[in-house]
Amino acid sequence: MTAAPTTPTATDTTLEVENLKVDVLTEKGWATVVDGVSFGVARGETLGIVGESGSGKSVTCLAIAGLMPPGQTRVTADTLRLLEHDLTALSPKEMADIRGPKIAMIFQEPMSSLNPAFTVGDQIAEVLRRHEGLSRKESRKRAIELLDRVGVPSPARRALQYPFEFSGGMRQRVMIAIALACNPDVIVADEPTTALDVTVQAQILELLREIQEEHGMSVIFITHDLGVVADVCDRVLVMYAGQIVEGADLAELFADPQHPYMEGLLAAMPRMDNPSDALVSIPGHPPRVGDMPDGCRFHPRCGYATDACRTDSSPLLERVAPGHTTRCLRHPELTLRGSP
Amino acid sequence: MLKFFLTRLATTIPVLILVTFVVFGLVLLIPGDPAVTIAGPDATVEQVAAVRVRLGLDRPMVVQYWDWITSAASGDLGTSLFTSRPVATSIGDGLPVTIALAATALLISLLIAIPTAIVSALRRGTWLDRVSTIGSSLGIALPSFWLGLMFVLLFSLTLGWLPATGYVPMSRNPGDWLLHIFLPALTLGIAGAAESARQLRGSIIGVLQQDYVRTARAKGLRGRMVIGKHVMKNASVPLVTVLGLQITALLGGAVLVEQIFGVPGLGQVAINAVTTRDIPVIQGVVLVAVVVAMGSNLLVDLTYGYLNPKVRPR
Repeated sequence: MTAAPTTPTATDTTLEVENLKVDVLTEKGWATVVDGVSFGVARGETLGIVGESGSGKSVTCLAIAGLMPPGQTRVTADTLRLLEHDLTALSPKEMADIRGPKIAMIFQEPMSSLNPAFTVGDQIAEVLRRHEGLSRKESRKRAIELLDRVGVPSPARRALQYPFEFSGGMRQRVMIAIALACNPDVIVADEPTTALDVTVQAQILELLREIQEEHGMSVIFITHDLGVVADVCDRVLVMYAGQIVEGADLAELFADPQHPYMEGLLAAMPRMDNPSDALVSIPGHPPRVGDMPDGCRFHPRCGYATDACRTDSSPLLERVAPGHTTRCLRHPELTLRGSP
Repeated sequence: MLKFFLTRLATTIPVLILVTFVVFGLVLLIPGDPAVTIAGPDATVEQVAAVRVRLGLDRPMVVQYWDWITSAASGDLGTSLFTSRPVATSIGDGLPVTIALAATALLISLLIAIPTAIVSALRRGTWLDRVSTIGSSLGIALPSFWLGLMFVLLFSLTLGWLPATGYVPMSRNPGDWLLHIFLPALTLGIAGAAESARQLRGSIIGVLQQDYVRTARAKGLRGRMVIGKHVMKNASVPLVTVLGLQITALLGGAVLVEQIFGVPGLGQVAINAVTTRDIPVIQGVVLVAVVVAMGSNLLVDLTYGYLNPKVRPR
């Protein structure tokens, strides 16, 4: 690595990832879906990871949490550190001890992420019984408090209900209560608002923000929605075809993108201030897993690509400014358009 | 849950009434006149008519039905035409034996099916999975009378571990009871075990791919909890459906297995009654079998309510 992306000082870093690589078993053999991803997250920081579906953003986080199916996946990393734990050295059992109290997840589909056969209260309470050794009675009481905290009305009654009796937004609140139960140091929110209505989306984002302020945890926010990124993130990593292609603080990334892909994403954002503009999109499709183009992985879709982009080996992630990295050969010569 | 139980119970009543019509009507479908049979081959027309009057067979059908159904409701299923024993007594002797046999068979089949299904689903595609899939196919394909004979040959005649025939009531000696019931129950349960294992393996594999299983893992729950609680409760629904069907099949299969192992259950009573055209006994046995089958279906529905909260009325 010529330059690690903005890595905060080791003491306040809750999660540190260096050169993470994830291979999955496909019909045609092993294929790399996450290739050399490195980043760190500071306490209290919200790190956004953006990219199209299939860019490897979810796999990155599932791999960190040890949730990729063993046997069909290979996860390697130079460093994978969560607080004082070296995750590469932990057994699956030890990983399970960490999931919940140290790192918790919120998933995209609140409809299917809760078990239909158990009450909502029980699904929250079991985390507390597992990790904090609470009794049934204590854990039930705590579950009701958590439901109250995440804004579920009449929590004592609702705790006894099943997921199908909840709306999408309310279910996502339940998921947040589950994630919050053991007061984790890192919360990974994998597209938590994608499946929700816009108004509900805003409420859930607000709730996540409040909770983060209260507890000072690190949040990794995975999304493909730059509007959401602008709303909640402090710092952003842009992923494309399994690699980080750009990383910067939010304001800088939007104002001064250094990778053509990020420029394309910004241009593709629908704008309220100029509704007459037709919607812009990046031409082409991301490459398929196991079928990566030579050179820069973005070159087939890039308007600035030259022969060097097509033939040279994949460009390295380079530092262009303090805390700003990009994976583009031509970044010194290009002036890319940001978001006004 | 109580309301669910009561509404479900109420819906069985019309079905039960319908069934009594059918059971009673069976008599009309059976070829041959019971009065002729009873009176014997040498009886005169007058003697046959006298027998018919004595048995009440000359009265209108509706009257006969009403008579039968009111007595049956009070536990009187009539008297055997041949042994003159009350039908209820014969059934009372045989039914507990058959229920014990079927219940043990069901227990054995679940004890085989559940671990097999879990292991094969979790180790999908390995040799363990393949062995159990082949085993399931064999279990479904092999006829129980053949299996029963093979078990007798192996465990009783060759190894001498278990008695080949006979029955000891549990109340007399639980140990002996177990020794005697084990082979018949295994014979009866093995086809069900194979079917259940196959069904459960498929549904576990399906459930393992659900998002909520990933959530359970993300919570840090141990593998045992994830499988035993989150996967099994959802994967059991199709299994319960299969079990509901199996209970009725077990009652039918018990008739055969009781013959092979000389177990004095309801099957023996039924076969004797059918060969002698002992209509009150046939009616009694069929009625009891239907009630047992309906009871087990009721149990299945209640289990659905427990497993799937969406089924419960609110």
